[in-house]
Amino acid sequence: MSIPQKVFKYYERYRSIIPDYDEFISYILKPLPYSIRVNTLKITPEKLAQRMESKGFILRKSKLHPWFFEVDCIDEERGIGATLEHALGYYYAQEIVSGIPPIVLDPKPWELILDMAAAPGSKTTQIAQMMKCKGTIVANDVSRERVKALKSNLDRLGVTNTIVTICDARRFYSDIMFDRILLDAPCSSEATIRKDPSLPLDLSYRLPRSFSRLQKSMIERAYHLLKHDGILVYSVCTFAPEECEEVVEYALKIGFEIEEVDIPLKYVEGVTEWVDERGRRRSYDPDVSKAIRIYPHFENSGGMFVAKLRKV
Amino acid sequence: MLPNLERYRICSSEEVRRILDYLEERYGIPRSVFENYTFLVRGKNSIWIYSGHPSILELIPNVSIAGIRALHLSIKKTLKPTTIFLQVFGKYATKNVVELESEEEAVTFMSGGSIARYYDVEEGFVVVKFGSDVLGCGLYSNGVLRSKIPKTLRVRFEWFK
Repeated sequence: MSIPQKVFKYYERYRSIIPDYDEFISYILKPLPYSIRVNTLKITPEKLAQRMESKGFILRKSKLHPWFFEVDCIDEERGIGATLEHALGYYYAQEIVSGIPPIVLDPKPWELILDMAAAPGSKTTQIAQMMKCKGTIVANDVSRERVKALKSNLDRLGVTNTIVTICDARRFYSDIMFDRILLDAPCSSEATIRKDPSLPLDLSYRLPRSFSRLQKSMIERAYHLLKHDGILVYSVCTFAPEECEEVVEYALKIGFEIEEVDIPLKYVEGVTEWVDERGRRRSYDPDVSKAIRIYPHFENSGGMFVAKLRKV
Repeated sequence: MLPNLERYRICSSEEVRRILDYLEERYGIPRSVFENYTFLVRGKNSIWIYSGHPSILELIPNVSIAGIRALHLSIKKTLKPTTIFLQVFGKYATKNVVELESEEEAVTFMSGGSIARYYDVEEGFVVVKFGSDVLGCGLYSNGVLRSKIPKTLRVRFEWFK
């Protein structure tokens, strides 16, 4: 099977839930545009944009947030990281949709935040920026190797309010409860195919099912680490309802409430009913429709699922 | 300075005083800049700076990293500020600051090279700037400025051709 054929076949199970499915398919085969987040701990968006434009990059403001720009590179091979400004930590090459979970989390200076699966740190550093490096972020990741990338990004961006821990988030322990938690969970990454065209796509769909179990145990751990009334943002870069709505439905069962999310990009609400590739009808708690799904063809981006949950 | 530092811990007030004295005396960085920061010691010779709640450090088990590495105690017992520290706090420095004169010099420095030129600064570790950018830490001695930019932050010459 050729690569595009395999891609078509893999995503076919989502035909009934993705609006304008044919357009969706045409987008997932296109490369992802470059985008950056300006590190306002070090420079203003205006100054950075001016400097990059004087070097020949073309920057377009993202609708998501004033810190984000889409970028056309002068030299595709050199890409976006080969500049003095990048070495000085003035920006982070980050997908636009990856900026959504921290915006929904809405951390405030002086709060205590947990980022349960933090590496390589695009969202951790964005949270630090939103907090102006005041208050504390505990950034955890299970992989020692990935933590190296996290550390180097914290260093480069000059983030001083972060504690890094290395452990399996399901066994993360703390003597203190958190104000807000971000669980940007490990997932089948189906929605990152534009960034990574070599993404392995297993037509047995075993991956979404096994990640779903892991994500549920992580969300359960998050519940115990969160203060009463605290906010948990759950996000995954996949389209599989097993890893999205099914996990959120589980969160509602163990004591979370779901809240509406609104962002200045096009999105659709969470799926409450669908039929999987084996013809089995699945339905979820109607409240999961408050979660949001962003598809690549909406804004020429990657894909993302985000839910905002409150511990009650 | 700071002898017998063997494990990761919060600096004593005496150690903090000496760190702030050093930053003020050598670089003219005012003490007030560091009002909301905690200094930590890790291993025998590195000092870290952290702006989170200090009490959290004791409530989270197995802290692997806290804040960023600020200073390093060299074999000769002199303190060296790290590039990542200077990229955040170097903008407050008024003494022992080297201002590079051209983009070519900035690229040489950022790619790990040396610049032979007289600068009106004391010998030893200096803050290196180019325009409004603080590039990082350099070592100035015998009329040569050596780059102390860590490999991970270096830029490559060919990027600027």
